Amino acid sequence: MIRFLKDALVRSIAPALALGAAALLGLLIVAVVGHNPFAVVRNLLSAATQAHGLRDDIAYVLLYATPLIFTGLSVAVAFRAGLFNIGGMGQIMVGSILCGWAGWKLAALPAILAIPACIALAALGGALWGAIAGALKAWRGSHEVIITIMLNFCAIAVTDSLANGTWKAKEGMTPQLPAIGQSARLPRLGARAADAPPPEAGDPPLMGIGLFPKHVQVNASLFLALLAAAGMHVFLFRTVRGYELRAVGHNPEAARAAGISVKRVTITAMAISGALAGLAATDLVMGTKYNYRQDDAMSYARAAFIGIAVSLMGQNHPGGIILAALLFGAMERMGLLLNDVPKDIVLILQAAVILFVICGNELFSRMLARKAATT
Amino acid sequence: MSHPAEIIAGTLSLAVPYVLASLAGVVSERSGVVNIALEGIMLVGAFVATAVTFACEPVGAEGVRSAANAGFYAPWIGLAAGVAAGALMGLLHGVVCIKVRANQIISGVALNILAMGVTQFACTLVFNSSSNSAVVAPMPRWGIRPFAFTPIAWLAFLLVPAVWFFLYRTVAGLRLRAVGEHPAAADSLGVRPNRTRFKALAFSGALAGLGGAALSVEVSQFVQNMTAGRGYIALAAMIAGKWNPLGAAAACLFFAASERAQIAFQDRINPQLAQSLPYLLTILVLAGFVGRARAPEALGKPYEASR
Amino acid sequence: MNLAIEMIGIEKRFPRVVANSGASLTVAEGEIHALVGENGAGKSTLMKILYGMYAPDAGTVRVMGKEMKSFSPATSIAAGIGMVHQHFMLVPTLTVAENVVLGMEPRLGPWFDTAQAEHEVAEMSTRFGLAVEPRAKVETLPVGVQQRVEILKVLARGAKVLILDEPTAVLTPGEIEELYATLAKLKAEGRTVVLITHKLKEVKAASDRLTVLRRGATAGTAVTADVTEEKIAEMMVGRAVLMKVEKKSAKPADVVLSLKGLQAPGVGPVTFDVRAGEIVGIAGVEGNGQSELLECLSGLRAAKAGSVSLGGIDLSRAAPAGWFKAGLAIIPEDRQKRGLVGEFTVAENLVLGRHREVKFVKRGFVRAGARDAEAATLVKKFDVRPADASVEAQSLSGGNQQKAIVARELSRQPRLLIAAHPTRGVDIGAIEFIHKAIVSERDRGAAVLLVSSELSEVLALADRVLVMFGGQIAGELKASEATEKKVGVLMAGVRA
Repeated sequence: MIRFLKDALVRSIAPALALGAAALLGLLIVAVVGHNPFAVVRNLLSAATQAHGLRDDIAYVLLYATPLIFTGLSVAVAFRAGLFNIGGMGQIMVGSILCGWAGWKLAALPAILAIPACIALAALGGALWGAIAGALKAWRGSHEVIITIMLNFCAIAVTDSLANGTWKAKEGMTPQLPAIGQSARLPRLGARAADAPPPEAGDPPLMGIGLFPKHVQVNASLFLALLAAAGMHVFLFRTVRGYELRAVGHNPEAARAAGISVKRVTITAMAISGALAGLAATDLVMGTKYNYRQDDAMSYARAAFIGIAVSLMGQNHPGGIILAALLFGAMERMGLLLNDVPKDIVLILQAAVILFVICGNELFSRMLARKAATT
Repeated sequence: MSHPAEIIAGTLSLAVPYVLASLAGVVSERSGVVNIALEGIMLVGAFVATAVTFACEPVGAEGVRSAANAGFYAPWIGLAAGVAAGALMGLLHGVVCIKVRANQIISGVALNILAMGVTQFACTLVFNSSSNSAVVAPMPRWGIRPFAFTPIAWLAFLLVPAVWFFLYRTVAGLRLRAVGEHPAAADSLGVRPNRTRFKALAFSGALAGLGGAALSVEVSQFVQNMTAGRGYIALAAMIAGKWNPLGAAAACLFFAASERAQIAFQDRINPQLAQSLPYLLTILVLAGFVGRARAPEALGKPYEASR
Repeated sequence: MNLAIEMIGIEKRFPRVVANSGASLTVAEGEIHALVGENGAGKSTLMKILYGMYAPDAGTVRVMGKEMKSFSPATSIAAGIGMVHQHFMLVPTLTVAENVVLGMEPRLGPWFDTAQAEHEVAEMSTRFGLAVEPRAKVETLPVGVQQRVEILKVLARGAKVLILDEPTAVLTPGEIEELYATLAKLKAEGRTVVLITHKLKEVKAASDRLTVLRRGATAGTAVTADVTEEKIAEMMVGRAVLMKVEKKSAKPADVVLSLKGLQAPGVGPVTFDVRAGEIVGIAGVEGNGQSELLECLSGLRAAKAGSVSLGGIDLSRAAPAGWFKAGLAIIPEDRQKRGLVGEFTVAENLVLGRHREVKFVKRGFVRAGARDAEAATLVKKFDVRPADASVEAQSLSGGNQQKAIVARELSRQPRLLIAAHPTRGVDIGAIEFIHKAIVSERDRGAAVLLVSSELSEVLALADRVLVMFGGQIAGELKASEATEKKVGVLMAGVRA
């Protein structure tokens, strides 16, 4: 237990320093473009505490963190196998359109069947898209990074043609699918205010947790994300397959020599990674929008790139990833409250965090090695 | 149906950004550094070229800046700035993965995200829109129609043999290749691998910056995320071209032809699926169904100088 | 007598290793000086300091009486030092000429003057009697020729002092003779040679004087003619060495491993059997197909022709998992690469490859308790230090890593044990321990195949000796008739 805490502490040093460095960089950028950094921070804080106040902020942070937990886990499980999955975007899109299709076609089913079916198709779509890259890597030796990027573009093309074609909703010009059935919708966490008018038929289902305001879309997919994190922890550190996956990630030669099929692990890891990314569709389609819309999906699927930062920041550890996702969710929320400078500064800071973490990890482990050498 | 000469000219013109970026890839990877940051470097090159051109446009009589009364020199300064910005991005990649020895691929991906953030952030500041810039002063076209290309295009055609001569016929090129294959051997003879790699990355960044500038100069405007994966496709072309400038350029022509074909067939087959043609081709190339060769031996491995 | 090199009180530390501490070396001009010591005694590090690849943490280095202030290959080259590395520092895709002139290329402006470079190299090749083809690509050349390129490279930089790091490790006896002749020629020209080696015969055959390193420090120095091989060995290890392994005569039983015309890239056709209760040793110069054979015998390399079976089960096309199931245990050639997952704990490593045994799995979940109990037993039995299986394997010393691998593999209770260079880089105490463990596996009834480039190890352990040359078995000798001389002839490729 003490060793575990010590490990956790050591592992969090580089991310903490990276975060500090990114914050400084942010202030510096703000100053360079001609604003008073302190005034900007003050405005930000007052924006965060006014109106609906902190209650809203917390709900929004959880809302933004939900897809980041999924994508962070997705990137991390691939990293653990020595693979770099930057195809999360395509995996989310494919997962989302299948999830939306299932919710639309299975509208007649009761929730107890419709919800698991939609979740399964979201995971399946992502897993399929990830497994393609895994299979090409395992059998043809193609580098998964470029393949997954190309698969992102292919996913956009495929979903676009489906949402414009066979599966297109009749109403409207935008490429989108018809709405999913009521039974396939995930309840929002919020509670109705005491003085609110009675609910109408089309209203989203609510879980009635008093802490959350009704108008924020944070929903039950958050619990699915937390469940996925717990599941990944158990898988990686308690199961034989997880052991094999980590062995391949650390030393594929030794793993192969020990009788582990590196090819099988590569394909499985990419499929699991893709499935986790695909599960983000449960938030987008089942919890927030209630249908698949091409433009929504495309902007939402960019969360996959932030997943890389989340995974690195969380040191590829499920617990760390949850914390990192909350942090990045807070950054997103901050970006929206920011009025003085363009909100794209958040993207810059997220990239900076990645660079700082990988540099920090490298320098820090070198420092430890040097210390070990002198003692 | 277009005239064959127009198709050829169109293909050549589409090939320019690919060619420059894949030359950038060759230079970097031959020295042993994976440069997935090409995509982001191109984006930065495209934006900086546009923004600096805009900044250098003379202010007209009514106090209005416009492309119409732009000076002859503005796009040229913009171009130089785009190239310089590319070189700087290359050096930043170098700091992270040569100096600190962090993972080259993650560094590259982070730089691509950074490039997206920086260009959108700056685009909002300069042009009040994160999605696209104003139309700026155009570059002249040189040549006889339909073979009237921007000077960047002509330069790109020249750079293909030039980079080949550089790699295979100069002392600097010999050293660059030696460092990418066996850095310890080069080091033992007094050739500093990491210094060589830094120079290679600056050169590579400049080439990619030029490639990005080619994109924005073509339309005299910067558009959000206008590289659209060309940096990655250029890397695939480089692999298909066996890390050789001539081979890479040939593969780029092939990609450009597929892009040209996609434009031609857009109204006949599903347009969304036609768009994915270059990407599908890239996957086929990387899956080894189209040409495959050995990568430089030390590619992707940071070199730890003992001093 | 002028001193070419003086190194006094050298100290050099690396993460987790002290490579040199209290190492000194003086070499006179015009002599061939052997620097001897066991693997890991700090010979290479000391020479890399002299060549400027490492800066020492303490100590003084003088070359031709001048003190070295800064350390880089460039300054050492300028001071007249050249080094032929154990793992050749050649760029395989470049030509001989390009490799020789790299870093001091003849130029025409910015252009590389290929013709001039080739001319220079051809001229030097004739002058020093080291035949090479300047235009040949290095990757196409045999090792012996590559070594000539290395020596030319050093001479081209005007080296007065040549350091050769384990130059004979990859050479056949014939090529070794040629090398000795070259060294003598260099000496006659007034150049100084430092020969790094751990082979005593080589010291006696080639050197004038010798210095012995032990655990990073200088243990003594002598005129070669004045000392016997036994005396040098004693200086190397610090006590009289157990040259012979205690073992009873073998009682070979049924055939366990059987190869019939096995062929794969780099090896074959090879035919031989290994029986239960015997140790078959494979001797040979490294790079004669041993690595490829080992890969074929563990499922890492597919056979192109012929067949191989273990305990009657045909495994010609089997993956590693199939081999283990049939009863293989293997101490791999390269423990960093194939033997261990450095980032895993010792306990996790001790079940690597055994992790799917019923004992360690329950419905797909790892039985951590059973694993840790097994690990604790093995760590104790095989004296792995530190005696804590929860530390990362990469924090262990090389010898202890090897002990952990041996522990794991022997814990499989194999029908066939393959031991590849089982004591490479391991200290003397552990060597005895590992040798005894291998012999007791044989006595338990396992078939043992030992592959080692250390001829003395093969001769000490094996009941039968096979010699590999050019990917094939060049001959077979009974333990009683296997002498260094007879085996040496076979290693050179002369058929018995």
